[in-house]
Amino acid sequence: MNESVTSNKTGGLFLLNVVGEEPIFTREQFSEEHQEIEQMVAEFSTEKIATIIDDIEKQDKELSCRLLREMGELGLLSIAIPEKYDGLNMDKTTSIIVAESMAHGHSGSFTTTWSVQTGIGMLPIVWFGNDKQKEKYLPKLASAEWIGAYALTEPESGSDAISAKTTAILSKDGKYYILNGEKQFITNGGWADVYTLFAQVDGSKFTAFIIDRDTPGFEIGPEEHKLGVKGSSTVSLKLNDAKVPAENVLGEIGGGATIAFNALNIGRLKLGASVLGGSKEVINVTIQYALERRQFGQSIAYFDAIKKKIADMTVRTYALDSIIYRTMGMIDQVIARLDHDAPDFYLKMGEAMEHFAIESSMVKVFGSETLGFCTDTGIQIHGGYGYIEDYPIARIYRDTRIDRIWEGTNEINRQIITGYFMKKTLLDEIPLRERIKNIDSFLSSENSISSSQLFSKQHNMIEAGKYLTLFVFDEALKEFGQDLKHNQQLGELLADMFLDLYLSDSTVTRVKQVIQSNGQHSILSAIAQVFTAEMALRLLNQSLTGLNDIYHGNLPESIINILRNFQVRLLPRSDVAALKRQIAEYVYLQHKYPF
Amino acid sequence: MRIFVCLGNVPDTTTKAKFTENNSVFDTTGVQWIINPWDELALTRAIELKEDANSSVEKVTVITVGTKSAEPTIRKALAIGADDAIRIDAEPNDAYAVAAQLADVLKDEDFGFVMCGIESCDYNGSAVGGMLSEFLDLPSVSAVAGVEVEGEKVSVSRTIDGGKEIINIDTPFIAIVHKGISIEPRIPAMRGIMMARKKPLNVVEASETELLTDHKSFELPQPKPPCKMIDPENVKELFDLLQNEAKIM
Repeated sequence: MNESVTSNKTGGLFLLNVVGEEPIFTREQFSEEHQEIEQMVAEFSTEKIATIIDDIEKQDKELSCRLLREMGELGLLSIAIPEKYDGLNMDKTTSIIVAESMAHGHSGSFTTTWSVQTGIGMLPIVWFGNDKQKEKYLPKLASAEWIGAYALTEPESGSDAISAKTTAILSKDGKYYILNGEKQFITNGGWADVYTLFAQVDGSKFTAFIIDRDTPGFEIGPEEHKLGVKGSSTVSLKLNDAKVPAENVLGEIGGGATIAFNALNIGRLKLGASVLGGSKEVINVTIQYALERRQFGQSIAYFDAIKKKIADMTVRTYALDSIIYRTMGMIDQVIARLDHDAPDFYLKMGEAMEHFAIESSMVKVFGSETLGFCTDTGIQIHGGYGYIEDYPIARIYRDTRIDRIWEGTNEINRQIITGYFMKKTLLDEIPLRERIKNIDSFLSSENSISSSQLFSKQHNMIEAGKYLTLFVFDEALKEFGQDLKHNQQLGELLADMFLDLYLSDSTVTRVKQVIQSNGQHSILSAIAQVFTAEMALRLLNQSLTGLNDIYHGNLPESIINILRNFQVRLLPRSDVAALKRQIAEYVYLQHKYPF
Repeated sequence: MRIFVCLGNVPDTTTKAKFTENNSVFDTTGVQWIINPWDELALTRAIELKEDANSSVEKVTVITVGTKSAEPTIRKALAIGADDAIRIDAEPNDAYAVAAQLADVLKDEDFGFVMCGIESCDYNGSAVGGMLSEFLDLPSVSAVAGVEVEGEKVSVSRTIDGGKEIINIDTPFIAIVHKGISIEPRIPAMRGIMMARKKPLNVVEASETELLTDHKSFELPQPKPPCKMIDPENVKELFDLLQNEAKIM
């Protein structure tokens, strides 16, 4: 990756930087190797997965495991594994590209199986396993000779995972831990050979264990009947005096939380990439249908209401793409600077990823909601045909519903976004308080970017949006202090404002970069204009709701005047409807999502 | 033994063909380029032969007539498992020129046989293999659906009407291959993709070759007329339309 792509070392800085001031990493900067891997995975998914979807949906263990083994032969399960253990040890961007390109297979079920195998099913051992554990498990997980699973959730602890009740007590001879408890919703659980499972040692030391399937006292429950991803395995697990060898403790006693949470950030980014690929595929199947379906003597694609829907799907997907690879670029750049041979490399890598927890949660939230939006809109465009299983979109609709729930519910992730901004502000990790002090001078100034510059209108709107969001954030902190975390409605609202700014900043910067290197592109320009205009309206709406909550419905005149000032700066002056027509017509000409 | 596999760099088979300059030039905007499917099957078989301990095949080289834009396709062949590649730096303008340019390089190379796909999926000329054997003054076998190498002995099989023909043949020769030469093309592995960048890709200057053809224009097939639905009870209307409108009865 180009070293000059970004010098951001921590998350959240986008809120302080001027739009486009720093170059960002985007898919347009993929290396040739990245492009070849993307194509290879697309080929595999189209030829090997999409062709047998109906069989995968029957929850055929042998079939899914065979596909995993084929992926293992191609090296697609060992991207994150060190070379010493037969792995490829490639950058995180490669993992993300693979996750996105898997969507060509149209199988949420198999993507789920693969995602656990290469993510939470193996990464805890890659990151925290000792040499002996790595030697024993990683080559077999990389070839899919063994299937991996991750057991954190319990009947009474989902989002509050650390409060797990499963216990682990060291046997008198010190050779075993005796585990008792129950785990639930364990993906790959029915098929797995190896489980990373969490339990409380001596009642309070939250600890990770590697559990082999044939462990005495370890029972695997029946398959759950799910709404979607029906072809994947999801079971509960029971531990009745399960005898786990003491050498199967993963990491340190009491170090379970670090292991549990480290897997989450990369998991959120990978989920974001999967749903990005899914959104593009949904656009593809929907435009294919809309172009073929004729009503009232014309293709329905050319009805104005349908054009708007296709444009909305395209604009959202483009924005999602922009934030995923921007985030990945920043993380990979920080990881590249670490000493890869240092004994604490994976710990440092985990810390590096945690610096971008805000952006990772944003990718998860916006990604899962974008695929949710695209499938819902896609079904609407399909009309009655969208509601029957003969078309792929009905299955995708069911499959993606879980994306808003797992890897941290979107509610939890929104609290993480605002919570980390609070933490970074209070600890001065990023100088937000300095910027907040500038709000008054900003409000008395003219627009900062001259109108002759590319996307000057959008730049100025995003800058105003950043100040408006900081203004609401500051008012919220002044009113609630650290108790803001208990006002979850305001927390969610602020998270959405931060998210909108990251999206618009990334979208406009990406479009600008593409235009600067390849020349004018009216459709990309339209995407930047539409996203920014709609963002501005959302910010104005949210700020009014938020401030009314802070002031209990009695907004002082001074606040109303400030809002009026922001309103003038954020008032969109673009014909969004006309731009959406142009975007849709361009997409139709390409017969697929074109970026 | 060394095998050469000729690679064509062709538009993806799902490409919606468009033309510019008064329908005389193929519009390459937004086109995804791939290895010609017949050539890809040939490459797969060549690699299988190299991996077969009973065969004497030690090296597989891919050879292409193409500009720098063909290199991603060549890299894919190297990622699949070819040992090295030669790119003859020229536009592959017509079958005669391509065959002449391939022959000009291959005449100085030592090989057991050269594999060419029977046709390319862009212009479907089906002429390069035969012309190449003429230029090199070597025997050729067309519509080859199988190749076996045992030690130094080579046999090829051809699907013929109602059966199969197996021919033992002395090397060197040209094998013009058909579907069936291998079951399905190989998907490159991650390690293959990473190693492909380290494998030799030699670019050689193209010889001066005259063009014997000139594209005047291309024509797309007429769009399908809309489908007429007839009530299953209304057989009379069906017959009437088949007789008087479709005129097939």
